[in-house]
Amino acid sequence: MTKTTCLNEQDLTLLYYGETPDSVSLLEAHRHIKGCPACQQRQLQLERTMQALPQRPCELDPHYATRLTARVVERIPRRRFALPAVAGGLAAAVVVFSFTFWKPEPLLVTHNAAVHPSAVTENTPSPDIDLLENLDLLRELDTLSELTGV
Amino acid sequence: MIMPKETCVSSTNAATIDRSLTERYAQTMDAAQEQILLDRIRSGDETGFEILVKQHADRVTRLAWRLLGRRDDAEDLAQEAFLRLHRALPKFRGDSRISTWLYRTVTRLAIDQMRRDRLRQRLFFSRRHVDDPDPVDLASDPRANPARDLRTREAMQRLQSALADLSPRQRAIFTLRHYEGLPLKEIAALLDLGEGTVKSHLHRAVTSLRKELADFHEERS
Repeated sequence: MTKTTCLNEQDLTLLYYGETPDSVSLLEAHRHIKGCPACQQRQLQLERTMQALPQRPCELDPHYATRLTARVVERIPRRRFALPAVAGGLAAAVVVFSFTFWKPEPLLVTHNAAVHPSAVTENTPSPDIDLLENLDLLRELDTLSELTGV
Repeated sequence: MIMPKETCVSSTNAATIDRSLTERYAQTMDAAQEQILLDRIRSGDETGFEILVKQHADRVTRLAWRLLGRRDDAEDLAQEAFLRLHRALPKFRGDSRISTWLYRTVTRLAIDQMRRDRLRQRLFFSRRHVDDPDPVDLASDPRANPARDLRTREAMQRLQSALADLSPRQRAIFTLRHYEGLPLKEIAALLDLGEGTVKSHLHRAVTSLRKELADFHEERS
């Protein structure tokens, strides 16, 4: 059955885009337009207007994709496993650093001082010892000179 | 903000869109190759992701450019879409093709951005067309036929202006149908809308554009 009433604007728009109209089948719509000068005129006007719409050229240069890829990759967050790895590396560096520059205290003195307080006086080098040794040497020299009569 | 969801389109719809997009753009990467690439990315091979971005960069940016009308914004939006893809890949089940996922994401992000732009314009009474070229520059264009170029640019500006007056959803639907050539059924699936709603939006968009551009042609003549 051929539709006798004219097509509405939405149906004409849908027909322009090759879509099925809502109120009528595609076949019926085409049959109607064929026999209806008014609808033909409206369809022609619609086509003219739509074809007069300027194209919107979106030209991209050949290297655009490479540039965009680089920018996207740059913005990708680092993987999560990187954090423990960095933390482990830092810890290892601290340990190596500590061993390299660590100077042990004189353990003997400390140990003795802790266990036998009196040992401190026995083992601690005294600044007067050299002087006393020199005095002994001087005495011996004096004795030698007396013996030789010089 | 509408978050793109991979799972929001049924498998049937996704398959329809995939087939159509694949045919339309004659993708060089078929589904099997894409799956291999996805496996590489999931196993930690970042170069796989770079290949994926390179493969889709131009198409995604052009779509964003057509939707938003500005290249800078389009590039930003394309970057955002790829970053979201990177985040989504571990959970990507492969129900739809990457191109479909990107189409959906870019369209939704663009609609969000258009909505924000409109709100900003209303709140701050900002100029509508900041990117409009200076008429003096246009007149002093050294190319062979500046008069014709000027007319073309004026028509483009008028079109941009008319598109800006549409609602973000109408604009997206019109762009996807008129410039990208997607069938309404696919647009409905991409935007999670009924086909009737999409038809209605398209009709309103076309009516509005016809009115604006008819006025422009009358002014010109």
